[in-house]
Amino acid sequence: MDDILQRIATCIERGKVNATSPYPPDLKGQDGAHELTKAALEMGVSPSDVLAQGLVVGMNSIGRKFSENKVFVPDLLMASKAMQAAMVHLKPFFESGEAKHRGTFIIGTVQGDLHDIGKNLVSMVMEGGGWQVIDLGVDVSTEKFLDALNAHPGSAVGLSALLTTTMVNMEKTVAAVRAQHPDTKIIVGGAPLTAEYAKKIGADAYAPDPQGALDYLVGAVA
Amino acid sequence: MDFLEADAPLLDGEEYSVEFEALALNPAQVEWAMGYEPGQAPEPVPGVIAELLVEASRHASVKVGVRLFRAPEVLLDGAAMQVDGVVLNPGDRIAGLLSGAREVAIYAATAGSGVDDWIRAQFATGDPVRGYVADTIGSELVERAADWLEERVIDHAIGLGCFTTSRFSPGFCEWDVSEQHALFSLLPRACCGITLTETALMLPVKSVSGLIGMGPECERATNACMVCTMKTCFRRR
Ligand code: B1M
Repeated sequence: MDDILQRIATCIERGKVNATSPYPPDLKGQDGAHELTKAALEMGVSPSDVLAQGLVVGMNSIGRKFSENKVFVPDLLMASKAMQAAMVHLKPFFESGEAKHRGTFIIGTVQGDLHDIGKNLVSMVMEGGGWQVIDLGVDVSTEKFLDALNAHPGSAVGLSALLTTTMVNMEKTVAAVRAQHPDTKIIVGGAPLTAEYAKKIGADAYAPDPQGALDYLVGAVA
Repeated sequence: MDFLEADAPLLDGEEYSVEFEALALNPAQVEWAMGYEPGQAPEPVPGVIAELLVEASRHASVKVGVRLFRAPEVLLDGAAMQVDGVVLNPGDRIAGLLSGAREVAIYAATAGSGVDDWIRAQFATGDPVRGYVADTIGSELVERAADWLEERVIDHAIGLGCFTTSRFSPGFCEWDVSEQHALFSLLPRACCGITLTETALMLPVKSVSGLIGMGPECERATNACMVCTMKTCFRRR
């Protein structure tokens, strides 16, 4: 069992989607995340173990290397493709309640800002880390964040921005979330953000990269 | 607005169309822009870059617009400068590097809205690697367009017996992005088809703006990262 979970983790980290995918070249012709996840579940490994000891381990590993600038955005995107292939098999268990997410994470790029690559990477890593992700897209108003929180009470919230001129819109959203849902964990991130700014606007944390957001939330809800 | 051919001399207030080929964008530059050392991107990234560089040439409509302002229109005063009655606040550091400039070139460049649409279409294929490679090509295209302009400004400066500074843009170093509105007020209206949102975002997204100083004592920074304050940048070299 440990072996197949380890192999799933490796496939996720290296972006090996399925048996027919030719990348990475040294795993050509071998089973990928798709086949191995299916096989693990058929062998009787619990969906929670597949998630925690396979997917999460693989995504954590690539996420950490990304934080250390050892790999770059394409590596993370390839890993997330493999993770999606594995997730297809876990989805029914999440729906039936047999497998549980660590929590729900609502994310969006703030009002006035149209950038989504960074936000999407955060979504992928959070999902790979076992969180249910509700992605509100770009140019998201405070009202939309509040609506999503009302629909999913107890969720954590992530705000992304790429320019200082849009980063300032975070303050209003943070204040409104705090007023209506005081216990919500709020993380902010994006190129112009800093820990000082996060503190100033009352967010709980600044995450420099997707893994930072995941690590913070794992620590905060543990 | 008629666009001039790229080999025309640098003229105040003109907008130029730059051929994709003239920008000589190569795979190594795209890999570098993603953070890799050239030749180090893993499979399938190099193949996707090669394929999408060819595609990009069909969607790019690269334009560069420039205005030239001569002394005494340029007044430096601590961290601020006045160009043709418009006050710009690039901050101490950039203002210091611009001190002694006799003339400034103010510019905007874009890869065109076709590139923005093409990038969206690549993401919509469901392969985020294609989307990201296309996005990086779009970014590099417009950076190369700014390089193209900088070369013309250098030639123009030589004609004046001057050297040039590096390119400086609102949003870098201590220069606030909101100053884009002031900078754009110095450019022709809807320069190169670029519009600014209230939050100072340029549309098309793959656009850049900035200024270059010219003067007998001006110098270019040998490494642009030395002027940039973003210590966490994945491109910091
Ligand atoms: C909720 O929790 C979280 C946690 C983590 C979170 C998070 C949420 N959201 C994001 N993260 C984090 O995780 C992701 C993965 O690590 C990251 O997400 P990002 O979205 O940041 O990262 C993407 C995955 C990849 N990163 C990127 O795609 C951006 C890379 C950098 C180099 C960059 C690029 C490529 C470009 N740019 Co420009 N550009 C820069 C960037 C510097 C940098 N190193 O980040 C930045 C963003 N740009 C900047 C600027 C100023 C500008 N750019 C401009 C133009 C361009 C290009 C066109 C050349 C190009 C494309 C831009 C685009 N929007 O498509 C201009 C604006 C363009 C416009 N349309 O208005 C212009 C205004 C310059 C000008 N005057 O021309 C700076 C903004 C600073 C500020 N003051 O706001 C900048 C930080 C560079 C710098 N060194 O200062 C993290 O931030």
